[in-house]
Amino acid sequence: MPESKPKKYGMAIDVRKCVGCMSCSVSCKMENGVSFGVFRSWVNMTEKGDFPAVKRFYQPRLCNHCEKAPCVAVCPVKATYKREDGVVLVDKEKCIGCGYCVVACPYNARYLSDTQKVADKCTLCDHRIDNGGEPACVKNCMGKSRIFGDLNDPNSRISQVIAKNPVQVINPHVGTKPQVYYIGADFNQKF
Amino acid sequence: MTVNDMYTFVNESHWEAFVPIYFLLISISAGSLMVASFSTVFGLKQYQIIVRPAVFTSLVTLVLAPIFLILDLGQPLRFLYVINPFNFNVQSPMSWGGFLLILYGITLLLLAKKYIGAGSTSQTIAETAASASGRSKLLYIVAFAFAVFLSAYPGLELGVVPGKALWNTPVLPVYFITTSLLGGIGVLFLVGRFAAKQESLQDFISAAKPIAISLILLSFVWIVSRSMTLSTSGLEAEAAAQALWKSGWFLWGELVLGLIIPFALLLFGDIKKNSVLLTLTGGLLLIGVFSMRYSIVFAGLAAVLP
Repeated sequence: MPESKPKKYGMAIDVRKCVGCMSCSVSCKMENGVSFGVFRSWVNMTEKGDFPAVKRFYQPRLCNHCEKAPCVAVCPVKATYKREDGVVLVDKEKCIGCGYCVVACPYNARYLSDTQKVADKCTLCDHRIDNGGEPACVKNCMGKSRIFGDLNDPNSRISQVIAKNPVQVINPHVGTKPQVYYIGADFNQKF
Repeated sequence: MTVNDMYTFVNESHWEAFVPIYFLLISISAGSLMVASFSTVFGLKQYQIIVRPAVFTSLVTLVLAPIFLILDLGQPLRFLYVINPFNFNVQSPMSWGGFLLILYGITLLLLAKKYIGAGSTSQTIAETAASASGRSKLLYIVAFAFAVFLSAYPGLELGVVPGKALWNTPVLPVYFITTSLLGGIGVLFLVGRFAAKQESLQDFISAAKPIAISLILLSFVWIVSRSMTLSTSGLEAEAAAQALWKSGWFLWGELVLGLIIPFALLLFGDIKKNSVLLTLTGGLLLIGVFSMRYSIVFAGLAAVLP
């Protein structure tokens, strides 16, 4: 019997289903107590076209939990680390708040918490997924645009969705191997 | 009517002016020691007279530097975590930098100890430095090596960041070494005026002048080559070039005050005899070195694609 691979969490975002309701941003803030002025999860928008044929495009954003995460590489005290299941986290007891990871993140997904004075970011709601749940943004996505799961499990919904659809990642040229995949995104929209 | 609007959000960095000030101080520390090494390591006699002021300038700026680093931390009391060997991250330039600062500081203290001697004149001390051999010479060589790495370190720290086109170049550490040397010469023009004998100082100025001119020319080469390659390397790089050229710190601070005017003063002004011109040149060089660090840090942070 073949040995099963360890879990590797990721997210697929079908932007065709995103209606821009921002419930991901709001639910993330509520779930994780994210301060005013910073976001762990947010939605970028563009409006494009010739009137009246103007279209609005959405691009939900979060930490990409990169396989080759620059934030992990640059942290001078190993406070930022990658779990075996691929989730990139910050050890808040160890972080010195130098902000090096904040500037190193090519996706602007990190910030310095104004309450704890340490680096903060999306944790994929580790407290929820460790108990078998989904991240709050996925749970509350009204268009079912966000799909969370184990990328190493070929039977998981995320693996099947990625297998059936062409996917893109943000800024692939940076070489960070993001684990957030976009379906139906047009990155020529200058996001 | 054509619509092409974008609504984006970017979590902003909390880095403030303390970061370029920290970079400036370690650059002056490393730069002045590298300039002194022209005498202590390479045996150039014209530099003998500035060895002592260089060692003390280097020590003072090195003591001040970490204060600004610590002030910029979200958790200042955790600064010692960086020099805990169990936390050492081999991939992080900041991890290496922490240990480099400690080793360089110890070497500097040992050097400074040599120059704290009652009754010694700066001339005899300088000659002692120049004729150093054996262990003593080794100490100067080690200090020089640490100074080179320390001057390159801010460039490496920024250079490894993959998403910032202005920073992410292997040339950046070399540019930091170049400008650290300029900063070293600048600060020694200022300090040497008060610490050295007039005749010996003139020898130093004569020797340092062509080096400063060459370093300024090298800086121009870096600016031109960097701007041209950035402007033809895609959207992100183009945004970085634009952010740099829109920065007043770069345009006025580095380019005009820090490079063009000192270049003219070094070429056409009699800085050997005119102490006002010498002070002005030294001061402007330091303004340029700081402005370069400020503009690189903040133009680099501004030039990101959402």
